[in-house]
Order: sequence, then structure tokens, then C-alpha cells
Amino acid sequence: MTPQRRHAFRVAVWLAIASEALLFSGLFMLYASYRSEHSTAFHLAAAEDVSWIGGTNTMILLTSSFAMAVAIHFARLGRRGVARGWAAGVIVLGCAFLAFKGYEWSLHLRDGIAPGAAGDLEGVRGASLFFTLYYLMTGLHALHVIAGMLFVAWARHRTRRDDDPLAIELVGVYWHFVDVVWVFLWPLFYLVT
Amino acid sequence: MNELFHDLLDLPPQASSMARSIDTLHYVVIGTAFLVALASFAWIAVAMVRFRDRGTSAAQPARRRIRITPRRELALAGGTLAVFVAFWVVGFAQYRALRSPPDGAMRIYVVAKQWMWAAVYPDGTSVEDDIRVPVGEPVHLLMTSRDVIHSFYVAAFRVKQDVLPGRTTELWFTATIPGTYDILCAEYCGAGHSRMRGHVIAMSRDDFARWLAGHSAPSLAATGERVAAERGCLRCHTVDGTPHLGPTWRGLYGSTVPLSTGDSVVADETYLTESMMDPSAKLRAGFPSLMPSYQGLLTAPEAASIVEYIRSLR
Amino acid sequence: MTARTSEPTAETFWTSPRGVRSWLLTHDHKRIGVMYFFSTALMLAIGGAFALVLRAVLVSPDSSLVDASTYNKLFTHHGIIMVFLFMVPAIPSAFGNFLVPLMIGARDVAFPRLNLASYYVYCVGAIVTICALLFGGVDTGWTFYAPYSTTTSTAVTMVACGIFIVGVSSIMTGLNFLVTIHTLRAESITWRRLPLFVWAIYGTAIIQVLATPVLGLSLAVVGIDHVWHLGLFDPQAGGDPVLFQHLFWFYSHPAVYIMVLPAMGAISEIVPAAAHNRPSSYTGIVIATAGIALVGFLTWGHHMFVAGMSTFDAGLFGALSMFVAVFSAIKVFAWLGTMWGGRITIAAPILYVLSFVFLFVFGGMSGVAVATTSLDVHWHDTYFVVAHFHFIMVGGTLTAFLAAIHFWFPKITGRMYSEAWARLAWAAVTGGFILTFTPQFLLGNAGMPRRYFSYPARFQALHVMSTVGAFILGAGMMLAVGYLVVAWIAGRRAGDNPWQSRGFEWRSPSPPPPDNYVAPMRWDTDAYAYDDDDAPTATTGTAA
Repeated sequence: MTPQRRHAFRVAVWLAIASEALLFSGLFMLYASYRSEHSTAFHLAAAEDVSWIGGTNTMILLTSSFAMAVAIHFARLGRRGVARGWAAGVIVLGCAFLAFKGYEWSLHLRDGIAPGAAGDLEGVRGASLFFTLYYLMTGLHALHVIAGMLFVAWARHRTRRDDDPLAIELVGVYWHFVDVVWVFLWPLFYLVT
Repeated sequence: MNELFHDLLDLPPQASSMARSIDTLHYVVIGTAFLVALASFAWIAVAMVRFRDRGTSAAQPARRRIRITPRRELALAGGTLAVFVAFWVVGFAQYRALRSPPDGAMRIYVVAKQWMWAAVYPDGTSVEDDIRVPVGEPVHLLMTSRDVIHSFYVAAFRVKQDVLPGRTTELWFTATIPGTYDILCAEYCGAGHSRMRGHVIAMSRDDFARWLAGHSAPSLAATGERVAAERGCLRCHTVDGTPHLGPTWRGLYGSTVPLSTGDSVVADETYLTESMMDPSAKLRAGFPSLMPSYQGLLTAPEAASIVEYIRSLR
Repeated sequence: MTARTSEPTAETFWTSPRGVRSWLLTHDHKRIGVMYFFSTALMLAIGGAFALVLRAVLVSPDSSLVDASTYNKLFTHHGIIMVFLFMVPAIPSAFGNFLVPLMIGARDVAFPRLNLASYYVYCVGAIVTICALLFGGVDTGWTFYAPYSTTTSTAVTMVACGIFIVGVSSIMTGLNFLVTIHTLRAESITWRRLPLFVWAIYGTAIIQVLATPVLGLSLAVVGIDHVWHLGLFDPQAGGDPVLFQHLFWFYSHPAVYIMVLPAMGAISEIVPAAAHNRPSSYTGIVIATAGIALVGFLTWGHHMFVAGMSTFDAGLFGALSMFVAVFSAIKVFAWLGTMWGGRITIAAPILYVLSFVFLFVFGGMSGVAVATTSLDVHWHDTYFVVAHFHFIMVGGTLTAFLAAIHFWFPKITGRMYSEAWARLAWAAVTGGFILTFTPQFLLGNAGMPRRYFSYPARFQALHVMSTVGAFILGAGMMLAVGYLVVAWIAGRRAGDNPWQSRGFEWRSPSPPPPDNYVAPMRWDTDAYAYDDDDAPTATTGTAA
């Protein structure tokens, strides 16, 4: 692959990430506006989120980002088998994240907290907005985790026949982005209580 | 001059105190736009004749090139900006005047819904679609919507304001010429949007006073006192100046209220309505967040009547 | 090299390789550009047909042609089709695809497969959006204002979905262009020598990549809200309908520049080529393009002066809007300067430029007028605003689109249309346009709100004039389609460079071969090197 072509792929991935960041920014803006309008309700509602799950998930994603970095490191050294192992670790951690996330959603739904009017905590005005945004933002993020896992699996598969670390590097950039989005979501939904 | 441009541009009558000055700015801005567009057109048309490709070299004017150097560029851009900024300065001053109701204006509460306009006067008179106002007196409309967004537009007064559900928006005007003027809904609101028309009927002060006196209804403040008792407001709010679970209503209207966030706000119609509909949004300092929202429990006229009642407790 | 016209037997991208399959699976940017062209032109025809029905309804203050809710759906779909399915993709995706690689000396875009994928994603989005009509259509207006859009019973979710998909296609195209311009420029085509059209596409692509996701998100939220009644913009639940307007216009105002920047880029190419003169300010146009692309992100609030925003914010957005207008003015000065003292080829492209400048300057100045806060209070949501943005979108972008068609037609097809018919169509389009929209300015002045199915009888005369104009405009467009199709099939061979342009895109054969060039290229003169071109009869061949 020519240096020009590698450059093209790098630029493309960063542009895609910029575009994705703007996608999330709309929801962050909604969150910021409603939080400033209904700060009490948002504090009350955030207390309903299960903080140990949020914390665990943060740890999981940070660890997965570390695994990703290690995988890239070994791919660059040409030790493709080791890199594949660490990439598999990333995927496993991604699955664990989704499992915890799904468990938390199920807890909420069991308590009758769903998107829309069902999330108003029996009359706390603005709480339903918090939970609607909670489901929308964590849901959109979960979709990105799934997409990220598919990309990692694809790049991992590529290393079988291709010793160019570019694919796994670029997928790694995307994975870090998904991780960073969570690092912003975590305080908004778990730490504002 | 005013007459000529007014007719040329097909403007409606200038029936409010602001209309004339807004129209004057209108003439200047649109006149400039038209002249500039015409000048650009003429420039190209002349260039197309003078510098057209004549095919033979003899008649062809020598090539010239206008270079817009950075210095010229800055001068052109700066000049253009200066013109636009001048429009902005005059326009923004007028806009601020349009957005600042004078003290002591007569208040009318307007409720929009698909697809009609209803209004209540402070003395309790309520009307549908035809809003009567006295000429020469500033009128302050406090508006809200029961369903989707509407927009209150009286072209003859050059005023317009979107009317939002769950919020109070304001608009004011002083009618200067007696007559009947269309209220048109300017924000698309569904199948009946184009039929959502009403009238502002501007009458002389005497006629208006006579008309208003002909409609004896309990005053809005009296209704407000009854509603406040029925809805339990007075269980937490006193009317004698002593604080209770909630702030007292005496002397509240027009006062500057400290908020729990450290800011402060003037307790006007907008703030009082918001506090009924969304009590925790701007919580008064020193009081707990106890009050439930009355969104959907109080109708817009009831909310207006409570505001009028609070206003009467000065 | 005077007459190296392409022989009929020469290999062009049209015929090589042959077969429907080779077209449907093509990676060739030129073929994808052509496919985009036909698709967007079809959308223009559908949107235009809706417009004519609307105008026919408005002849009478109380029409019996359709009922009010049908009328509401018609104007909604007119707007949606024209904005999202025609304007946004038309010039960037059709002409941008065809021309950008040719203008930077590349053989294709950076990601040809992504390019083809973006076309099919566009098709899927367009089909979903149009098919919503079969499910009753939507009646929200193209702006989808909440809470009406979340409570109406019409097919909001399906249309939101369709537009979201089109948005994905738009992002893919924008990303592809940005990477292409960054990485595939021929070595000697530096940033300082980049053709102005490419700069315009570059600015457009930035907006496509950064603003479209916000639109996608806000429409997705409305679509979801419409199904599950989340109440995100519902005051009953503490939501704020004005917040939706902020989200929507954060994209949709920059989207105006997605629609108009490529049009300005096309004009910036056609003016020097038609006048055979170096642009009077290349740098000025480039800076203005960047300025519009960036400051355009900060002006969305001027759509909301009467929506209930604070007075201070309104003033701020008004002032920022003035800056964008200055950037547009810089471009106009540059075009006017370029025209003076050149050697102007009087033909259809320059005639469209003439119309463009007049309509764009007046339309742009009417934009300054509505950014003047106090005047906007009277004009907001009236026909004045309708006339203003049609002057920009139709008088500007559509006129530039026609100028681009007439200028690059010989490049793309290798043939030339009939100049006489072209001038007739130009007169009909320009005259029809002015007759359609000038009365609408006056209607707005008189206080006629937009989106009205029935209206007070005093507005009727101006409405009738406007309708007559619309049908003249429509006839002009049909005429253009007619002679262009004839020319495409049986027009005379135009030669490689009928305008004797020095533009980079004219240095390959017309129509270009599949790989764009027949021989290795050298780009030793820039795209506007007309300084030595003093002998009027001199013709220049290709640099091949």
C-alpha cells in the first residue's frame, strides 16, 4: 500500500470520527439544556441508575482500550498471533460491557422506568426527560460498541493474511473514540447524583 | 416619500406606533438591495457588450485585468460590512423596542389553540377571535398555546410572536388608527392553519371603555382569588406578607426575587406562569422544592387569573 | 493541436466497458456522477411538478382543487424533495463527482467503492422518502417543528428515516471528497493552484461531514418520539419545543451553504472560462468560501427571531449573519471584476451567469434584510421569506446548476446543444422565475403568511401573477430537457475544448476516457492562465 493510500485511510477515519462526535453532540446539547432546566429532577433520577454497574462498565471499557493499544503494539512488531489474542480480549470486554448494560436496562424496565412518560418517577417533572435521554444516549453508544466490535473482529481476521498493521491501528482509533464517549456519558448518568 | 414607497412595496396600513419607523428602515434596506442588484446586472451587461468575443483581433478591446488586491479587498469588504452593520444597529434598536413592553400597558391574556384565538381581559371579559383594543394606548399581550406552536401576527402593526405551549411569550403594540386588522397565524399548525384568523379591532378610548363596561364579568383578579383557593395554592402561599411553605404573594409582583442558584429574576407574568407550570425551574432561595407542577391542571385562563390576583396584591 | 476532436470510435467512459452491469457496478467517478445527475434531475422534476400543483391551487383564495390537508402534504413533500433529494446532492454529487478528480489530475476519487455505495444509499433514502407518499405522506412542513411533528398522525417516522439515510449518503460523499482533495492532487496542483470549484466542494464537504449528523440525530429523535411518544420536546413533560428548532437549524442553516457553495464554485469556474480572464481575486474567493463554511455554523438562530429566544441572542445571531453576507459579497466583487476587460464568449453559460448574479445579489440582499431583526419580525414566516430563499435556491443554485449543465455539457457528452434553443429556454427560465417570485416578495410585504391553503381575497392578484410565472418557468425547464436530450443523442461534435478554457478539467479528451487521461499529464500552467491569450482566434488544444 502506498504512503498516499495509508494517509487517505487515516484522514477518512478521523473525519468519520468527527462526524460521529457531532452526532453525539446533539444529544449532549439536549442533555445540557434539560439538566440546567430541571437540575433537581436530574439529580433524583440519576440516583436510580445503578452506580456499581456504571463504574464497572467504565473499568471494562478502559481495560479494553488498553488491550486495544497492546494489540496495536504487537501488530506493529509483526507478532500477529499475540495481537490477535489481545484483539479477541477487546471483543470479549465489549461483550461484557453490553451484558452489564443490558442487565441495567432490564433492572430499570422491571422497576417500570421506560423511555417517555413511564420514567417520571411518579410525578418528578423532568425525570422522564432524564431517562429518555439515558436510553437514547446509552442505546446509541451501545450501537457504537457493537459496530466497534465488528470492526475489531474484521481487523483481527485481516491479520491472518496481511501483516500490515494499518487496519488494526485505524480500528483502534475508532475503539478509543467509543471509549471516550462513554467516559463522558458515565458522569452525566451516574455521578451527578 | 413614505406614501410612494408604501404603495410601491404593497405594505399594509401603518396602524401602530412602531410601523412608520420600521417601514422607513424597510425602504432603505430594500432600496439598497434593489440598486445593488441592478448595478451588478448592469455591470455584467455592459461588460458583455464591450468585451464580447468579436472573433477578429482588430475590433477587440485590449485585455485588461482588474486585480482585487488584498488592500482593495479589505476596503470593499469593510465598506459592505459597514453598510450591513448600519442596518443591524438601527434594526436591533427597533427590535429591542418591539420586545420591551412599556410599563403600565394594558394587559390581555391570549390563548391560541387549533385553530382559534381566545383572549381574556383583566376585568374578566373574554372574547374569541376578535380582540378589541383602545387606540393610543399600549397593549401588552401575554400569550400561550394549548397544543402546538402558533404565531400571532398583525401585519398592520408590524408585530409577530410565536405562541408556544407550556411557555408565556409576550408582544406589545400601540394601535394608532381605529379599524379592524387581521390576526393571521404565521406558524404552521396543521390542517386549519390558514383558517386560524382573528381580528384586532382598534377603537377610540371612549368606545372601548363603553364596550368593556358592557361586559360585566367577575374581574380576572377575583376569579384568580377563587381559583387559588380551590386549587389549594393558599395552603402554602399567604397573601398577607408572611412567608409560609412558599413565598407570600403580597408584593411579589414586580419584585426582584433571589433564586436558589444565586441569580435573581423579576417576578413578572412570564416568571409567575413558569413557576406554576415548572416550579423547580427557577426556585426561590430559601424555600424547599415542594410544589408540584400545575401543567395540565390549570387552564391558561386560570393561570392568567392567578397572575392577575397576585398582581392585585401590591 | 487545433482539432483533435474525439473520434466517434474513441474509447470514452460512456462506452467502455459496455453493458448495464458495468454501469450499475461501476467505480468510475464519471459514471457515478452521471447516475447522480439523472437521479437528482428526476427529483427536480417531481419536486417541480409538486410546485406547479401548489401554484395552481393558489390561483384561487379558496381552491376546490385539493383540500387543506392534501395541500399541506404537497408543500411538505415539495420542500423535502427539493432540499434533501435535489439541492443537497445535485451539484456536489453530480458535478462534484464528475469534475473534482479531473480538476485535480486524479484518475478517480480516493474511495471509489464508497462512492458507489453512497449512490445506492442515496437511492434507498430517496425511495423510502418518496414511498412515504403511498402511506399518506407527511404534513409537517420540511422543518418538522415539534410538537406538531410528534403529534400529527401522518407518516413522519418513515420520512425521517428516509432523510436520515440520504444524510448518511451525504456524509459518505463529503468524506470521500475531503480525502480525495487531500491525498490525490497531482503533485504540481498545489493548494494555491486548486481550481475554485474544488475549493467550493471542499468547503461543502466540511459542512456535509460536520452538520449532517446533527440533522440526522434531530430527525431520528422526532421519528422515535412520534412512535413511542417520549415527550422529549413536549412541554407537558418539561420538554422545550424551541430546543428542537435549535437542533434542526444547526444543520439546516449550514445546509443552505451545502446548497449554495457548489453553485458559487461552478460560477467561479464559468466566469473566468467564459471571459477568458484570470479571476480578479482568487485568494478572495478562497477565503470567502472558507468563511462561509465556518461562520455558516454560527448563524442558525436567525431563523428564530420571533420564536421566543432572548433579545440578546437575536442581536448576536443577526450580527453574525451579516458577516456571512459579506463573504458572499466578496465573491460577487470577484466575479464582476473578472468579467471586465476579458474576451467574453456570449453563449448560454454566461447568460445564466448574468441571471445568477442579478438574482443571487438581490436574494442575498433580501437575506441581509431578514437578518435585520426588526424587519424580520414583520417578514418572518411570510411569503417574503419564501421569495428570499427561492431567490437563493432557485435563482441562485438552480440557475448555477443550469449554467453548469450548459458549460460542462460538451465536457460530459462531447456534443453541443443548439444555442438558439438554449437562449430561448434561458429567457423563459429567467423571466418565469422573476415573474414567479417578485410578486411573492410583495405578498410578504402585504402580510401573507406562508403555508396557507386559503388566503384573504386581497392577495389574489399577486398569486395569479406568481402562478403564471411558475408555469413559464416550468415550460422553460421542459424546453431545456428537450433540446439537451436531442443534443445528447444527435448534437454536433463539440471538440475537446469548445470554450477554449484553460481549466484543468478541459485538458483531458471530451468525453474523457475511462481512466481520464490518454497520456501522462503535466500541469505546468494553472487553471486560469489566460494572460497570454490575446489573439482572439487562437485556439488551444489539450495538453495531452
